[in-house]
Amino acid sequence: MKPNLIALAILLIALCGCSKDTTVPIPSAGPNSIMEETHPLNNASKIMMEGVYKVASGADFFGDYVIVKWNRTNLSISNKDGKHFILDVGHLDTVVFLQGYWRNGYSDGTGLVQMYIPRNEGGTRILTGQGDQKIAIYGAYGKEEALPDQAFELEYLRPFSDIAKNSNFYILAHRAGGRTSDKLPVSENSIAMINYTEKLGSTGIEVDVRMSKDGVPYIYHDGDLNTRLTQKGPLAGPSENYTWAQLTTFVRLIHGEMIPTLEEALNFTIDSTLLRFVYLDMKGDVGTMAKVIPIQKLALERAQKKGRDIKIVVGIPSTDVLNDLMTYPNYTSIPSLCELSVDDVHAVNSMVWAPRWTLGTQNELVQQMHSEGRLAVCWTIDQPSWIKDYLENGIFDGLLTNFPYVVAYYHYIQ
Amino acid sequence: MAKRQLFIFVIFLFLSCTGFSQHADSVKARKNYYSLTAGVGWAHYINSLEIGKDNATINSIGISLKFFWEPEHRLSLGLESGFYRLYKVKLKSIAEASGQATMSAIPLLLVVRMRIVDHFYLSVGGGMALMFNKVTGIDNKVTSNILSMSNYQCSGSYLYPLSKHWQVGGEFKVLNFGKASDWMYSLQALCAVRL
Repeated sequence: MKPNLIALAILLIALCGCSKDTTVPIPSAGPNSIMEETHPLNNASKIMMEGVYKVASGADFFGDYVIVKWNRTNLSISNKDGKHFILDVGHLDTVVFLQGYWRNGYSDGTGLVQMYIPRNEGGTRILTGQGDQKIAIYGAYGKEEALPDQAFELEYLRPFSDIAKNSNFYILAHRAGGRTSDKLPVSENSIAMINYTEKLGSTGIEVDVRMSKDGVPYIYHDGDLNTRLTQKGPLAGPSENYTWAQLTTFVRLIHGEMIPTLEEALNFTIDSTLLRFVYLDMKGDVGTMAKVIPIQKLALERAQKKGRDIKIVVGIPSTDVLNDLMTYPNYTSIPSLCELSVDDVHAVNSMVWAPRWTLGTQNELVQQMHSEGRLAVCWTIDQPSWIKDYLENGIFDGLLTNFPYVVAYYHYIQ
Repeated sequence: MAKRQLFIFVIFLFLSCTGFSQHADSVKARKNYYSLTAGVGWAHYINSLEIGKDNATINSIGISLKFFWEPEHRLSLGLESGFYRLYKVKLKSIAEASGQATMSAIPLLLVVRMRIVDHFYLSVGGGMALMFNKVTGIDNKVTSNILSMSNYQCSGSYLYPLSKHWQVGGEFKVLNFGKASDWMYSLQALCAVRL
């Protein structure tokens, strides 16, 4: 009997393992929205809301402290273990209303959030700059699609420290801002993800560069077209086997977006976001570099014309790519990020050194990079405890992660 | 001396008899066979496409070829191959060029077959498949070969003996190609020969 039960359990696990839930649904307030008649906040008001807050109610679920930070479009709240909020904010008179959802990045947990800042407990100060420094945010959170019914209250503790505010630290998000496997509402390596990632706290992105059969660089992670990243379509096998017209005709990413060309991705990043760093992870075959470098050059010129302070670097993940870069004229003047040794960094005069996180904080080498006028970022670090350790004990200029809200928490709470 | 010669003669006689007893029966009853089965018929792809679902041709001709070792028991062991076109999808590109993508497969499966009742067999098999993805009409013709490692089939077949060597019949089979979770079924006419 027992072997039969074990066999049945294995069968059930296998069947459940076949589930293809590609996203955690974003809860919506629907007709219960509190934002209907509110007005948007101006930039001065937004900045006044930012800082470190104590969780006065709901600490058992969200921890003792959170950081509150505005991004290009929304207010983000992050805690230490991956729970984060993406909120719309508006005001009516001098009362500030907040509504959105929370999500646990390490699980499928999510729920609706509705909050407000009363007039005499921060609302007036946020909207007029006058009054008491105290800000209290009252409200509730729910779970799944349920209306908020659990008390949640935040008390303003302090502004961000000068270290957090003034450093040029990069929070780099993997795969153009987030992985499809983390069940985000948009596909990895898509324009939609580049547009979305700042809500998660990112200030830069890594994109995976491949080249089509007819020489068009595009961004896509995996070695082949598969149902993990794309909707089931008539093409299969390595995406590089197909021409760009064939890919655009027969392939859609998992949430329906088209695979973007590298040029489209860079132009969107420059024109429509505040992201400050783009790491071009070269996944393609030898020869891809010669197509990518002119696109990088044009993008940097475009950014300069628009007054955008953005770094766009070609990644060097292997000696093959390093050798490929070294065949290019004036390769030492090409902004690059080298994942290899410090000697290789010197050989191609990379702007950024990017060691694997498992090699440790390597403070002496990072210090050496700084003294040579280079940056050092570390990849790909996901565990909250390690992120905390690297931010407290390391001196990297940025961390590449799949969980940018956790890096944001430990960076801004310094 | 005579006793000694007689003893040797008796021993020789015994050995001779023992040796003769190892000879095959005069009526030969062969208990192991090898057989070759060919099939051809209708193949239907269970349309799970999300891109081009409404523009897909999902019926085609499927061909199978099986080689079996058939011992005296109910179970037979064999290898199965064949050729199946899963689907052909026609779509227009952004530039309004009309293109089509075709997916075909050649499975190579290890198959176990069991005789349930006379002439009726059930079989299951697993193995690899070479899949061919061909795109035409948009830019140059492109063929991409993909190796799919986890593929399965199960089938039921009926084989009616026409003679000692020849059998004809039919088969219904379900095939799974694991690389992109493709399923199809096929109804085929069979012709088998015992070698």
